[in-house]
Amino acid sequence: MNPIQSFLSRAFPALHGGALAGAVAGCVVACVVAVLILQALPGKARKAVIAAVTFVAGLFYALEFFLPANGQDENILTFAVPTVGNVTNVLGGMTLGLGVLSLIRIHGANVVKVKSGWENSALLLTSMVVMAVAGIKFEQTLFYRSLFRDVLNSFDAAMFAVLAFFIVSAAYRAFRIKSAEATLLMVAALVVMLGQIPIGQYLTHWLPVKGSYLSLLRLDNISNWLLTTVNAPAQRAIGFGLGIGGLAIALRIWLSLERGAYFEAKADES
Amino acid sequence: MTHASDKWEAAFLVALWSIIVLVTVITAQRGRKYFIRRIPGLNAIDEAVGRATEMGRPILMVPGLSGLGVVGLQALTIFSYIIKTAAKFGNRILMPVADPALYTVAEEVVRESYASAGRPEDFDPTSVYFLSDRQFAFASGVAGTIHREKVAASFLFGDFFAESLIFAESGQQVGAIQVAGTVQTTQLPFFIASCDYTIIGDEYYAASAYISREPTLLGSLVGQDICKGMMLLIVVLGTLALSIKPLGEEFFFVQWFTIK
Repeated sequence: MNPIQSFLSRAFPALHGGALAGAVAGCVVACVVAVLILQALPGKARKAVIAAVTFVAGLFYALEFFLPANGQDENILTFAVPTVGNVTNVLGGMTLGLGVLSLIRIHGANVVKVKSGWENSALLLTSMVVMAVAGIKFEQTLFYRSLFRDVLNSFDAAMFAVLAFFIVSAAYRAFRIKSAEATLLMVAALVVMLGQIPIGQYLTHWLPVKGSYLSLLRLDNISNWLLTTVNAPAQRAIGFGLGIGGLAIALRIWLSLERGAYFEAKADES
Repeated sequence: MTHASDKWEAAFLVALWSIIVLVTVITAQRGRKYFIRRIPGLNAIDEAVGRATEMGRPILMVPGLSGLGVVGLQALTIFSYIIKTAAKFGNRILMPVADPALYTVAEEVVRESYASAGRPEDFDPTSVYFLSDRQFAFASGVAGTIHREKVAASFLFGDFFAESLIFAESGQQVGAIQVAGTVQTTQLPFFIASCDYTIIGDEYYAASAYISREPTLLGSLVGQDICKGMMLLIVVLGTLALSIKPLGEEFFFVQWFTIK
């Protein structure tokens, strides 16, 4: 146990029973108070608080990454990673409630005002309640499994199946020969597709597999070359750009240099 | 866990690139002017908003399945600009969201964008709504919105996976002008096939700088380009080292950047 870990263990000993319930209640109250204080703060002060919290949270992960690790791939901060991750999960859990409230607000208004399509909204709200009750009270029953497997998963599969038709229409549009680039794309796609399927491979199966220049003309070899020598480097190049772009924007957010959004207007007003 | 000590060379590059980005940001803030090349997809935003105004139909903005991370926040930055433009013309906007954490921030960003455009009274709280965090439930909800509302313009920025083509093709079916950008390279071909304009690769992260011309963001963009130049140099040197027989895989430079 490292010094930080032992200090935290002494400062926050494990609680059980009533003490644990009291601590949880205390934490909830403290969170509510913190949110109320944050709401009451003027824009600039709130922005400063948010910037400070963002910096500290980012600093934790940066230090955890850069501090040397021991043989067990751990350093002085590694033990706290799951706990900090749990904080993020708790915040995410709270926002899920806000998401559900949004659904109820919009679809509830549709039902109450009998707007066009209110039946769909009523069905959605009913389904939401039934699924929630089934998940909480009857998780081990056939009723819940049936709702999940036979209804929800089937709907997911149906939506996924729609993709097959969309792929055809998108491919048709992409492969229409309108320009030199589209022609190149069409030919490359045709070769790659033929190189992946048995009938395509059969077309050039009489050519040697390797050891001769003729092997370069085999459709499966051309297809493989297109995928590994042309496509993969292009994808990696995009990946490099994205990685560096991600690093830059992460730095801007971590150091609160990003302007133009996220509560900037409120901060500037006050 | 991954640590810097697993590969000090990679960690050194991360630190060096971070310093480069910060230095260029500081120099830009101190008044140095930087040039940014034209990005057609981002220029098309005004065109798409104008078209929606002429048609009197809503503008759809989808941040995909992005959570509250850099990708989702960048999407909101782009949407913020679109909303400000749309608000000036009185366009109706729709923003379905799949992630509840992003939803709360998105609602605030939309409200502030209307306020910044001088039209706070036009903000409709029901224009930003949480649909579902299940991929295909969200996809069916968005596709339904596109068909019911017959959106005039569709902006797809964020993290997209298999549902990307459902959105893009639905937009095609209703004749919407579509601009898309994602960091998921596997979805780029679908967007290129179905959308009018596609933001590729790190153009996605350049969008906020391009739109706002804010010195901090422009400086960051220049820093990114310097880092990309360094990366290119590393790739060229590595290729040369591997191609020259006496050097090969055991050459120290290649070993630096080899993941074991």
